[in-house]
Amino acid sequence: MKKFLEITLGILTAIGGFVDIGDIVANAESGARFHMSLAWVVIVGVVGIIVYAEMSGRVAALSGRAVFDLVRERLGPRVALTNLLASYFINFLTLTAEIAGVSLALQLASSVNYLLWIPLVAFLVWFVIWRVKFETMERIFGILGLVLIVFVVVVWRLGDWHTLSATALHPSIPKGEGIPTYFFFAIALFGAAMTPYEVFFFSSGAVEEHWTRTDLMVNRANVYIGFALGGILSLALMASADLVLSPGGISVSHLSQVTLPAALTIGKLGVAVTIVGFFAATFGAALETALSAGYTVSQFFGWQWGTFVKRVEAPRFHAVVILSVIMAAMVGLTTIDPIKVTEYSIVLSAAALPLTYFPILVIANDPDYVGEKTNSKFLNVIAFSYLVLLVIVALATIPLMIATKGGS
Amino acid sequence: MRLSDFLQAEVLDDNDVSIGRVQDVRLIQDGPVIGTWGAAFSIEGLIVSKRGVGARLGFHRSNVKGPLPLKALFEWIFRDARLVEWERIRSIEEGRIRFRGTYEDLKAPDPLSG
Repeated sequence: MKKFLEITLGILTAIGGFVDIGDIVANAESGARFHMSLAWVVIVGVVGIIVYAEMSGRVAALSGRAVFDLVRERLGPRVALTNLLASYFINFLTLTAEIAGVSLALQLASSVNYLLWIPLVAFLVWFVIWRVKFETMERIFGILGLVLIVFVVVVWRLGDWHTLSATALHPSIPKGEGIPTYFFFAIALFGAAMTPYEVFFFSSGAVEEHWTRTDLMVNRANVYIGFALGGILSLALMASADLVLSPGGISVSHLSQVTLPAALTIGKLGVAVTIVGFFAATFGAALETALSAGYTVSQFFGWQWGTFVKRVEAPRFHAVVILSVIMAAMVGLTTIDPIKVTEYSIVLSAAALPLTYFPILVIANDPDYVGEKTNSKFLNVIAFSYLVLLVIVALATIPLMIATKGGS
Repeated sequence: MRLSDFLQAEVLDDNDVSIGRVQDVRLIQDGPVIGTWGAAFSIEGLIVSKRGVGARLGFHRSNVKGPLPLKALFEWIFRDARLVEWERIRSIEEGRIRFRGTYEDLKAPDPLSG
């Protein structure tokens, strides 16, 4: 019974925790501009994160070691340092975007400008990491994020399956949009679904929660069911933008526009629930990215890390977390457009994907780490195909970014 | 001297021709027993190759089975790798190791079983 409860809680947390500011922006913007023509990318991205998160969770449960720890061991200090710098930078952009996202959600609720919220949000992010138990914070924000199901309700109420399936099943590029822009948005969606911090956090979280062989079931349930259902939330965001924003010619440049579908179909309550969902999803992701900053740096240098040890035993880990949060808040306060930061963070994530996922694939095949639980041939075929795809995406990202001037 | 001092040292043959750098060190546990710790290790030899990236990925071990395209790729990249047996080592200076013989005298390293 206890195990069942644990698995259910894990799944709910994974669903709610799946969506972050990157998913919100990328899905709503794609839906508004391309209808459901990019829905297939969300599915490809979700399957990809499922395949690789399962491997990273399995490696963590069986070897007790998290992703970045292994990156250094297997790629050597020099390549791993390049990897660390790229990963840290992108994770930092994501952290900045999430903190701004929480502040934007608070602005929607309070009408107080988001810039005034940033310092408070940054403080809260640090405070929660400092004070709250890992499992508790993961569950609170994961499960609160579940209220984003409101978007599924919105799509259900609108019920225009004909319009949605028309472009979802026969993707086409709307008039006025170019092919490069279409692919640029495809990469943004892909990057949002497969953001590297998800596996840094997932595998480090498994170590934080002392996963062992007996937790392999929890790992699979979280990933296969939780992430898959999380992907449905992403698609619902896209669909609601297609049905409501697209006919009005609204392209997403502010978070408030993403609440419109709920406002129009459910009313004030819908908006309120959406804002709570945005707050939970972005705050949860801010915690995850702040922790990931500490995880990656500490694991590279071999410092004690984690919230499972006494704070005094992991001073450098906590220092990296605090400094990253402060710097992210400072960048956020420069009045830089939070939506733009989000877009850049997910697109650059896409460019760095092979760096994160390649070592995971190697280790998940190595009996020294996972014993007899190495990848099956079938899994390797899928995982290797994804690796090829990741490399192609990575190579295409920067040229597409320049060619489309950032998708505008 | 630490084992890590060997890594990346340049390896020269009888004619002072470089055959690459030390990518890995092979140990065998065949020494005298030390307390409860077990038998001591001794060095079997140095794995030398001109190519460095990916030497630590583990694809040279026979129990690492896949993914096949990656295994094939890295085995191809390291096809020049040779085992310089410890008995051949003539001198060790900082960052430079000389051995008796030439590249042609050396064997490719056996794939490790585990």
